[in-house]
Amino acid sequence: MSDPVSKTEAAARDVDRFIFENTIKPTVTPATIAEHKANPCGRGQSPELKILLGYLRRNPVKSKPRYLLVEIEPFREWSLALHSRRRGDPPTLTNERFTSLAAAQHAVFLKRLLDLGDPGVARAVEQNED
Amino acid sequence: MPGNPTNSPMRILGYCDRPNVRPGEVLRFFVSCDEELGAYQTDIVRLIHGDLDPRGPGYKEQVVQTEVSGRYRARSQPIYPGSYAVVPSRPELALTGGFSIQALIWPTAPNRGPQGIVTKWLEERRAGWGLFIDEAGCVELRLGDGGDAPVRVRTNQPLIGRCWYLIAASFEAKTGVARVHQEPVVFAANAPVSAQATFTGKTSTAERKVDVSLVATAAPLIFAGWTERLQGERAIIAGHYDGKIDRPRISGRPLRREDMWNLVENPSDRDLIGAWDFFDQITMNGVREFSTIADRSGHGLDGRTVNAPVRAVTGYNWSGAEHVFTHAPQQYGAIHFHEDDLHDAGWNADFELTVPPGLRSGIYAARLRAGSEEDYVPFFVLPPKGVATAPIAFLVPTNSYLAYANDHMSVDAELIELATCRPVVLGRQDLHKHIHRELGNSLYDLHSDGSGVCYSGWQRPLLTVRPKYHHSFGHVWQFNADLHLIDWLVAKGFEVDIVTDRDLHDEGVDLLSRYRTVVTGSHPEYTTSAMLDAIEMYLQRGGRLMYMGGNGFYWVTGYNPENPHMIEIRRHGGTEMWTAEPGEHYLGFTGEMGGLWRNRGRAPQKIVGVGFVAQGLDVSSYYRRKPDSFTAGGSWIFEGIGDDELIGAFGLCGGGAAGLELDWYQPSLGSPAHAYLLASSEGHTNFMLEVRENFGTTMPSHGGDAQPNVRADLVYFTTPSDGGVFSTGSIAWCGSLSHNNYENNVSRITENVLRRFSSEGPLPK
Repeated sequence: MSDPVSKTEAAARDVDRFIFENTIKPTVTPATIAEHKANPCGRGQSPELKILLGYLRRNPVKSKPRYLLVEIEPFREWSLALHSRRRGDPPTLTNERFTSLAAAQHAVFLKRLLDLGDPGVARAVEQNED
Repeated sequence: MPGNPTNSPMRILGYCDRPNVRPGEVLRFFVSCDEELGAYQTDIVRLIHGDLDPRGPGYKEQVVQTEVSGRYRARSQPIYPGSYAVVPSRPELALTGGFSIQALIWPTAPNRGPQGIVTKWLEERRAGWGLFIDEAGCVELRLGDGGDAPVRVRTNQPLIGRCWYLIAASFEAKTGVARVHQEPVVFAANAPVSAQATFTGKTSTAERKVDVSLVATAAPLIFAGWTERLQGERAIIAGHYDGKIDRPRISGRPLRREDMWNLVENPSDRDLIGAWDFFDQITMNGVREFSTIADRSGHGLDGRTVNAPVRAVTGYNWSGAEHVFTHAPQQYGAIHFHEDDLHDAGWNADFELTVPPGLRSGIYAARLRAGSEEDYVPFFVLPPKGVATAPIAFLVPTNSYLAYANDHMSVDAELIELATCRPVVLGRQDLHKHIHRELGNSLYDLHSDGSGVCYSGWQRPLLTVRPKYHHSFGHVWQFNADLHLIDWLVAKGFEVDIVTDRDLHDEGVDLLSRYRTVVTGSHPEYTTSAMLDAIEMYLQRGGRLMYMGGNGFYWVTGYNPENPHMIEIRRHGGTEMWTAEPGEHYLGFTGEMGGLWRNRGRAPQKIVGVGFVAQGLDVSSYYRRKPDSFTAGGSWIFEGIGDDELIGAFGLCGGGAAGLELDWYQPSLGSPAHAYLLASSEGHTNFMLEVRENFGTTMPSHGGDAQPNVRADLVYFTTPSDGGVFSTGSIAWCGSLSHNNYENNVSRITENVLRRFSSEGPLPK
């Protein structure tokens, strides 16, 4: 018998898989991805993009990184960083730098889509890049 | 900041001994500066505008020549977080012949590693005695003679977190018998599992003969830690314990279990050395001698708490029937200690500023610079005592600054991005306070043991209370957001005095009555009962209040009776980052019920016409004029503004004047019927969500794209004797003031009201 926390997490994961397959996955299209690139945070987003963002922003895949941005220079430059997941440990900066917050937000969005580990989602991301 | 963040993103930091100071008074500053930097330059500056956003007017400060300007030697100063209680060393505590030690404990992190419970232990010499939790989460008696291998006698049953135990140890030098004991004390309400049906904790005892000659040391008696080393008079404490301790006792001979239980409720025995009932300091007005612990044994082994562990918390015998600690103090005999509590950083002072007698009331800071390293230590210069030097007062919401001080929401809260609607951005202050948890927490954080943080004090570097600071939520917030308003007041030429929450609490309506108009900050959320009383009386006597923000007057707040600049809250029943434990909803500092003022019959709508209705951090919106804005009583506020103009469709806080946190006009919560509902915001997104205290049961459609309650209401009403209230109902309002070089409809409305309010003429009704 596994410990209660693992059981709870496993049960939630199963439900979240159901949510992903039935509610989230249909929203992942080249069109939604393109929409996010143009409008990563703000008014006027399509219902599909809102649903997708509500899912991705809660870091649904716990084994994948929690993404942060670290300010390199105020209002000018940001670096993608990974949360340490340990209280007090500094985030790890990556080599990915951005000179626009919207571009940084979209980069995090794409990473999270790929972190879902779903071939269909990955194809949609690739199609968008094409 | 090139490369990976170092362990010290900020190499110079400071704080001052209080936020509010009058001309002629002395303010002390405490600085820690990386000694490799050699020296730092101090200057006093007047702060005007602190938001670096290139869309706004940019950073503005003015250097003020004072006696403290100059270079100072860099000196690094440590912070020692972690709360404990200390009783000075005394001969009767040497106990080299034998003893019995006992305490009831409720450990919250028993698996975190070794922790001291009741110790007179000097780690640097491995000498003394103590009752500990060991690395396996079991109870341990440690006896040290100064040799390399202290005697350790341990139980073999790990403690279960958040369950009460009687733990005890005894030793007799003559026979060498050492014993350690733990037994669960779990009832229906005092544990997180069913005492009868499912609790699995075990009683465990270990006993053996040991060969040790106890050595007396100068280490003090410590509850919730041990003495790591002695530094002159000062004991450096380590091994902090997370959890509660109730009714600790020490006896001069080994006791049987029955004798120990007798001592729990009847601390009298011929060999009793010390007995502490932490409920002794509870009065009908709270724990007034907040840092005192008193010995009942007659030996006078009184002590004090350090780093503000939480009092007025349920004890081992809490039955679940009584929720008011002042009504049943004996059920509140515990203190909850945390390894990350911090009261006062305790640094040595580096310089003192005697505020020049002629210095204009305003918001100032000590600017500390060493090469490219920089910190600011803000403070608020009041007018001289008993006088006003301007017709307008800005009431600085210092309690709200304390509440958010050093918050870790963006790194600690896994789900924070659902609220921020964008990946969080960590600036250097955020990185520093995230890595340096010793700077202490905000009232939005959890302690490392998972319990909510209910105290916040001023005497430590407060990295969120800084000019140039941009909150990781994506906007300026609190202190630096309020500088938007200061900048506008300067730009428009208004003369303003500065007063703080603490001054209002202390001086009451007399303080406000000196001013024609009182202006609030953008988010004055944390209010004491004395502050509410004073504001209501001011309005009743003809005072005029401009409530320039959102979610104000929301949480019941109390001051530490021993420190005027430390506040307490107990979160429950509101929109909150944590919820207080059952039985712990009352403020230890004052004895009053915590939570929302709304739930104590004092909703903000009754005083300022609007109250908290929604929050959302993605984008802000605009207001549209309502019929009341075209009436004789309300139209003067819109002079110079077109009938169809959208109000505040611009701004530095999310691009609009209505955003972040919104308030609504709601007669059922006390908004005056005669108030003018001048304008309401619209066009909010589904991430602007109605607050949870608004609905009894869960329903769909709480977002701004579906729920009409989600709006900011702009309200004006009059009060007796020609008083009046103008409320913006939105935190973002002040972020729109500077748009288009201060020429815009938010600025115009604010100016129309402030000029009228601060003039001698009567207000339109």
